[in-house]
Amino acid sequence: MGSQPSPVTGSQSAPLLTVTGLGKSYRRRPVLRGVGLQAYRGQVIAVTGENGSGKTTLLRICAGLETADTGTVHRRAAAGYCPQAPALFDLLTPAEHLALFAGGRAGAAAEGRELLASLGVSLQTRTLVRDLSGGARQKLSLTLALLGQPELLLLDEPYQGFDQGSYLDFWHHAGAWRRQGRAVVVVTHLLTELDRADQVLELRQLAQDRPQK
Amino acid sequence: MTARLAAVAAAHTHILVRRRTTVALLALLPLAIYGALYRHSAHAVTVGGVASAFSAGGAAIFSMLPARAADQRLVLAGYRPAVLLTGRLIVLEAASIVISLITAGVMIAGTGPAHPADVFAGVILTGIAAVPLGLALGAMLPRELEAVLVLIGIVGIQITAEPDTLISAILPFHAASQLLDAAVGAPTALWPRLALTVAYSAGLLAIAWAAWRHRTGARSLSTITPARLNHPARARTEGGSHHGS
Repeated sequence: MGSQPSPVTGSQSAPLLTVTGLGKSYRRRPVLRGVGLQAYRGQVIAVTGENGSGKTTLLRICAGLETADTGTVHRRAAAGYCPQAPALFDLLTPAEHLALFAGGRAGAAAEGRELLASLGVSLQTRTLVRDLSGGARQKLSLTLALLGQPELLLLDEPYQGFDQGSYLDFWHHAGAWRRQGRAVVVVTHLLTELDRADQVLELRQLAQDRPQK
Repeated sequence: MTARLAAVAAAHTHILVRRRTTVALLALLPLAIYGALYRHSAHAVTVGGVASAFSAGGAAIFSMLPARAADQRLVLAGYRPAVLLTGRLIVLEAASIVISLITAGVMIAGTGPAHPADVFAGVILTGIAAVPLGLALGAMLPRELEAVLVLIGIVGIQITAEPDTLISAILPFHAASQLLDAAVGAPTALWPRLALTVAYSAGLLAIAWAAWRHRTGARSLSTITPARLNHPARARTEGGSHHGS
């Protein structure tokens, strides 16, 4: 997991995200131990591992939603975080979500509408989020993570509920974000997509006293 | 700041309007309690007025707990927990005043108290305190069930406790309860009770803010992972800024 040149610039710029020696336990059960990661501009980093190996915990710590027990997380850029479960307001429409998450910035709301349309979700309806399909909810959740064009994207299985076409679209979008010079850290179970990643961080369930990476 | 506060208030207005069945049931509850008592009890106005805390407090609880994960995302998008709380407070207090006016109007029409202004004041003060109480319970407790049970307990004790006891005096609706008693009895001064209710509400809001700040994981980038403060390899995060902030 050492430092790598950016695929976009080819230069050795500072990583947007550096995780060093990260450790986390829930009660006495260790989930992460000695995890390291560096995410550079123009990279897609896949985080894989079996259930319970700490993938979601790692992303939540990187996003700032949880504290680690040991180690450091150093972010040099704004981050957009898409959680595994969409975490939306059931009684708001997608357009109302965009207005809320844009925080009154007209440009951000318009950008969100374009993003959502590019993912195939129409804003014409007054449909509440609770009445959307699982895939449409997840697309809205992903769009909210992308608002404001953050340079670092932390995406926790963001394509859950997507149909095949949307799933392929997601990876095309990931390629576009990569070309834009963003760093994309994506949790995935799908080993067939690992060739799309510049780095793969495989987490293992902690059974032995050894680092995970 | 103002745009964000307006965005939060607008969102919670939409949510409250779409929960109209729940809001209607919450609003009818104190009237139902008053209706069961008004022919038989001299305390019907006090009981019905304090029971309006179920409406405002319940609405506040239901605005907080289902939104915990979404609020975490809003914090990551640059919102401060204080803004998220204040937006709710504005919407819920406004709704509470409307419901209080209806509740007080019905009770005045039903009982014909000697001092009807005290009924309005008592019910409105109940709502003023009940919203921060609901926000605090919603911020501190993990699920709606627990929060509603605690609300029922507090309001129930306030209704049943003798007004001159310590337990009654330390609960949030004591001042409102005194005003409601005065509506059908000897008159009492409004301002000390208003001041007490506002002070109590401010304390509850401070608790709600601290608990919600903790629950939503609101950590600035310079303090994401304080972890164990004395640990030699304690985690920390540096630099950068949230998008949208």
